[in-house]
Amino acid sequence: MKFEELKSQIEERMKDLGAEISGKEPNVVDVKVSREKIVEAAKRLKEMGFDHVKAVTAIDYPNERFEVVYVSSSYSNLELAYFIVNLRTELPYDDPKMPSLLEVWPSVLYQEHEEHDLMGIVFEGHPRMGERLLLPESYEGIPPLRKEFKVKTEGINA
Amino acid sequence: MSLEERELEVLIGPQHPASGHMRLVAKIDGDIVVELRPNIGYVHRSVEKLAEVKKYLQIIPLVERPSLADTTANNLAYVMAVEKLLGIEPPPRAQYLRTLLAEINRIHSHFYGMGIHGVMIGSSTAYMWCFGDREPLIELAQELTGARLTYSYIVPGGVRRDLPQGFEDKVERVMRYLENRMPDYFDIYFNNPVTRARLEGVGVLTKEDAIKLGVTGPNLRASGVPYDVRKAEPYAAYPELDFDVITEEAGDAFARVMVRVREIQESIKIIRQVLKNIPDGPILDEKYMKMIPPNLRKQVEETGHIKFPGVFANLRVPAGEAVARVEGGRGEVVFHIISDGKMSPYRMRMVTPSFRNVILFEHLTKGARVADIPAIYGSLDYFPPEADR
Repeated sequence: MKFEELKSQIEERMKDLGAEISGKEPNVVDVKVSREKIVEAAKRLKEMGFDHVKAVTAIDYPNERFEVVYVSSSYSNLELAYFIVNLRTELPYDDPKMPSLLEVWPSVLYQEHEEHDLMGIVFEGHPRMGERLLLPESYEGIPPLRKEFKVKTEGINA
Repeated sequence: MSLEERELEVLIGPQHPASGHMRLVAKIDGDIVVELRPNIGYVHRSVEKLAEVKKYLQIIPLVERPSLADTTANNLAYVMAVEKLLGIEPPPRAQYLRTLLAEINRIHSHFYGMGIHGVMIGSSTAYMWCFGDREPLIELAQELTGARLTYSYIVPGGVRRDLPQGFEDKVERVMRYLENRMPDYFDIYFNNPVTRARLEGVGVLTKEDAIKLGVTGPNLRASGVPYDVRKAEPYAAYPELDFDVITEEAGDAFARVMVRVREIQESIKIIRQVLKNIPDGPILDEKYMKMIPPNLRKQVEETGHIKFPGVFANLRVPAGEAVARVEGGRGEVVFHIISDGKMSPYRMRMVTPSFRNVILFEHLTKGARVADIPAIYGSLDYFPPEADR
């Protein structure tokens, strides 16, 4: 399958969701939707054969917005496996909540949990919200992956 | 007695005889596991956060450390993501050298995994043998890179060192040794009735579940999914090499071990092709080579050891976003880097195969016997520091 072909197929499928489609040759397609539409967009990608998520990346733009990116691809269709589709959405800074995509992609179980634990994003419908994953259970304070959490350095420059 | 009262909670770890620290929280009824939850994070070293305060070159050793036995995959995937942002392609010879180290590393990573698995199911022979036979590979890697495990061999634009003199002969000796040695493993370990009884039909992962749960590496291929990044999105010298993607159909613990064994044989095939076909030429991108001062450049050409041009210390990476993936020994390593054009990434997401596979602990142990927990654990080649990052 050609890059342009896949891109236009995705465009076709996502038209009514108000999705912004862009891409980077040769194999990365970016699909940006609002958080209200992300579950539906994920469902449609899954129907196309994008059956698993390789990474969930949450990005912090302080006092502006959060961005959450689902890096998805295919195991069951080896032609699609060459491509990567980044499903992304933006969240307001004071309300970093979005629906969990666990129902669509069970492979996000630990990934969403990690971004909740370290970045403080709330994935509604995820069964482990409020539980710690990597941080100690007693941890309180700013989620450490946020920019306002400063790394304390040791050694001669400290 | 109600079921609820019969259930017992057993804590396995965080100190236990496997490699690295993690805790398993198992609810059991008799010796049947009702539910098991991995409790991870004991060896978390916040690689993603530290990457935001380190320079691009300093991040190479940082991303290698978590995956002690399989560092080349992390090194390569990270550098490939950076190269995508820089818009550079390493020269062909460097691509072959990357492939060479990646395959040497795959073999010793598989031995590491099989050895730990062996001792977890009580075969100390398998453990000793695997760790012994891992050694010749580590020595090869050491001669090529200067380090036993944490190579930092792959840098943006190329590799740090050229082939040492007489390396081909040494590699061939090791490959022949491995080929003669592998049948012994079948005689005493893989075909041993005890091993078979402990592994066959244990921890079965169906093809549908493997896809759905997004697991990776030999654990995925042992369930019949022929996905391998080296074929799906070929990188380094793989497009020019002839090799097969190894799959098994059974999806049990034994199939996962068999995938690793057969992949060792494929890696031997790849290494021979690399050394036969490796093209002549530079090992670092021309643009960076030119930045090395003339007298040092002469030394580099004579010794084949790269002296870093000063620009590397303050390497600035253009703003943008890149995803790179590599098939490591344990599975697919994914780097997702967001750069804002400064000297450190704005955000670096690092997803390791062990983190992708941790979901299998809860999935495969449901209804298993307590005695099968180590057999399943070991078969996943799960490495806690790699999962925690």
